[in-house]
Amino acid sequence: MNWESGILLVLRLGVGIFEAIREGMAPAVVIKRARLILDDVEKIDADVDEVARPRTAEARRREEIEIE
Amino acid sequence: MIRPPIHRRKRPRPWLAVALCLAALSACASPLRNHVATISNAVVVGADAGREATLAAYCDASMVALGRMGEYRNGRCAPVGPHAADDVSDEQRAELARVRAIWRPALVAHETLARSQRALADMLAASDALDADAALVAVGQLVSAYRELAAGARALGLQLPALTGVTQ
Repeated sequence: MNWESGILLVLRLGVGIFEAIREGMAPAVVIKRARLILDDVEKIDADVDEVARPRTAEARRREEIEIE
Repeated sequence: MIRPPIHRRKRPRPWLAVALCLAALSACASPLRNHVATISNAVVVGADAGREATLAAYCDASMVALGRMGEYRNGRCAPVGPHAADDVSDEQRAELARVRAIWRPALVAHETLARSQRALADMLAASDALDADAALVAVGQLVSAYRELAAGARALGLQLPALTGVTQ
């Protein structure tokens, strides 16, 4: 085995490992995002309902103090 | 005179170990599964951009109905603007109900898209022997669900981006 074929082998291995890692990671995006999309609309509705909820004057004062 | 055999110590061969590891990796990886994952990733990235835009617009429309502006960030919808702390009147609550009714078709399409995405993700996650036809059908359903969402959003005056690489 001469040094040229050695370099070529190392390069091929590097590319092969890179491809294997890249392809092995490919499903990660779709699976990760699928977890993120649960109940998005329900969360928005809950946040908006919280704003629309009737408040007593006392509760409103307390919230304003908390915000400040 | 007969020379005794020379017992040379074998030199370590790291390249051989690396080659064996690579061969094992190649044997484990399923090219079909990876191709389907690559395609579905491209579709999901595009669909997510449209989904985020839809949710942000829905958050804002809901808050506008209550007399304020909405900011959608990290999955939460918060009131912003000078009237953020004002009381909400009964008329505004009625307006919110009206806005939600108008948005219902787009939100149903959003739910369909979410279900398609989850089905595809489950298929890819549990695929020792991936059924290529079923996976492609799942990707097709995802694209179709996104088109429904885009149509629903368009009816509300919202233009969603087209999916990159998908023929319209």
